[in-house]
Amino acid sequence: MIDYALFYDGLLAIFNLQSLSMVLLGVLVGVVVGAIPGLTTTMAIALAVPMTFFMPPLIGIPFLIGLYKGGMYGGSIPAILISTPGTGAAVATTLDGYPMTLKGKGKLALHTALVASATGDLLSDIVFIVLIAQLVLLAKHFGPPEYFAVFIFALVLISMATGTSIAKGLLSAAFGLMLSLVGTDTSGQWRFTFGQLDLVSGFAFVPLLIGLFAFSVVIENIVHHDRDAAARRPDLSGEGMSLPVLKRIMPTILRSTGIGVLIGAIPGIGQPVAAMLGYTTAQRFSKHPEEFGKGSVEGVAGAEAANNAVNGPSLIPLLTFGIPGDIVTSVLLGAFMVHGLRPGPDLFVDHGSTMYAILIGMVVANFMMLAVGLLIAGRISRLVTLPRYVLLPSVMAFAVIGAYAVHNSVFDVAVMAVFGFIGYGMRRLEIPMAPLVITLLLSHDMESSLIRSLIIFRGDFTGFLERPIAAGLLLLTAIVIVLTVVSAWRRSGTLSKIRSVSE
Amino acid sequence: MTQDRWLALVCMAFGIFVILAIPYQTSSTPMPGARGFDLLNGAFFPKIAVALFMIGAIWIFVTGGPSAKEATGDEDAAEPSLSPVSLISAGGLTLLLLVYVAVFEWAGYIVSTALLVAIIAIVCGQRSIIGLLLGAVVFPVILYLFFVNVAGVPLPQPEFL
Repeated sequence: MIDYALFYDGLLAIFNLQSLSMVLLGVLVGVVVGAIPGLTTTMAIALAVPMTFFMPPLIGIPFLIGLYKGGMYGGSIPAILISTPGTGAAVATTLDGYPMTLKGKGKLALHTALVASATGDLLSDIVFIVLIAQLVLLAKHFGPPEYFAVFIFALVLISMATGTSIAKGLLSAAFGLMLSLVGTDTSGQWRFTFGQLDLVSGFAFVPLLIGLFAFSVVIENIVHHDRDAAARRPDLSGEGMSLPVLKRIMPTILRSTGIGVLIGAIPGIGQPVAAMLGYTTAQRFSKHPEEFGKGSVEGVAGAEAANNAVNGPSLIPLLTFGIPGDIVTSVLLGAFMVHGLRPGPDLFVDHGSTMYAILIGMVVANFMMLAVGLLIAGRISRLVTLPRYVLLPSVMAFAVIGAYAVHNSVFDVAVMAVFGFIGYGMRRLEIPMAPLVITLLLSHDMESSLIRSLIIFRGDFTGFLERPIAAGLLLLTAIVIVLTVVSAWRRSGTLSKIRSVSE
Repeated sequence: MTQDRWLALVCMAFGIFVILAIPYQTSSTPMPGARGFDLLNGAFFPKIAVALFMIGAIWIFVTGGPSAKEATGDEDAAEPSLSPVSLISAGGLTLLLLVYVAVFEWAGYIVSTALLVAIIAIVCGQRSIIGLLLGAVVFPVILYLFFVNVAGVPLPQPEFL
């Protein structure tokens, strides 16, 4: 149950001009960044994290949360206006959003996406606030063996569910594991530093993130720019949202919200899957399924409600176990830790009122997103055609200072440069980045929980099987691995080849 | 040979490098509390990590990676691509940034960033001198003022002044 005393303290803590202004600023920046093709919400959050270092937690983190939520809606704007999704989750929105723009209903599509996003997000945040206290209690029963089993389960799920190739997911996760080894081991001995003092603390997480998600995007935009693409400003003179349309789409929004909430709670699945499921379910239940793909307002509503409803529950594994479910929550985890809020079962004990303040801030951000979207969505259409010789140098200027500001070290800028190159290569070769980032974040905790577990079991690995929760999670992990590999073999025809050889 | 197989070869070479480095770059002292279990030392986790990495690389090499059609189910899906030209272009941009790192503390933040911003703007198609000057000077100065005076980040001043 919710701790009402802490909830009330949190309410008082967040409802002040400074914190609310930062939430609003975050939402505004997020919507603007999300609306610009070529920029991503993850990039914006990675660049914004260093800027929040000097801010207190109840100013910095609400800003980042606002940025996250604004960015998720903002990504639907170029999807609707110029058929260029700003986020992976907005791909499903493109299917009907852009046809609506071509029919002169661009404004209605933007408003539909806004209402669906805000509603889905708001309802999922409420579910999260109600459930989090119970889940934190569950996490208190976890010791080192259980934590290790949870980490392994989450990593396997993320490596296998993300991207199109299990082998590439495994490669990415293992690479993240190897990167995390640089620095010191759990006993404080130097490891893979090659005598360099700059590497004793390992690779700084924020510069690495800025390289992977900001600089790599700049490289890709410069190297693969489509010089023939003409930038036309979309027409938004049509009618916007009305009460009859709202009544028509509300059942779709509520249904898709349910889908998003379920998907959000499972690490590794993420918004793109939720959006597609929300879209296809909306089509199945629609009275006019033939309109889908040609400009159906229910198509836009179904996709957007589902993808935003992932936001709240995706914070559940993050805040209870410290396991981020996707790249964006990985970056948020980094931000939480920088501000001294270490996720885990003691987070709500040690920082209860602060955490409830942040959660209430999330709810408030949805209303701000609704207001910002209604006021400026039409004006933002100019941003989708911003010239790249303005955009990309600006991103670079932000990126270098963001990387430098972490430790006032020029070495971190070099790290950003190198990981920008690596990130570019990963994008082009379709190696998923989520497993790398999440493994990098979790590996120290994973290593220490494994070592502590083996000390408890006196070196005997079978000790894990004597702990019911750990054994259950490891069994689930094995089942996921087997099912995923068999499914991949079926798709590639390997199983039929084996059968034909054995017959 | 497919690009995925080249990727696998590069990864295997990197993995072999890490395997060879493990005895020299990790501690063989057992972890505190693990006396008597030689297994639990600084090399334990690196061995697991590199083993998983090599499994992934070998798996990609043996299967050649899924085709875009197999991976997505879309008959018209484009194959992932990293051409030599794009790799060299990307390398060039990275080198530009490393040169920026090398001159950063000598030239100071504003001068070095102004040059970086100007070069990237020219590469991206900026042809107006006024636009170039405005972007290259104004934006770094604004960021400098914010980070030094508001965020308290001590950005380097030019050493030659």
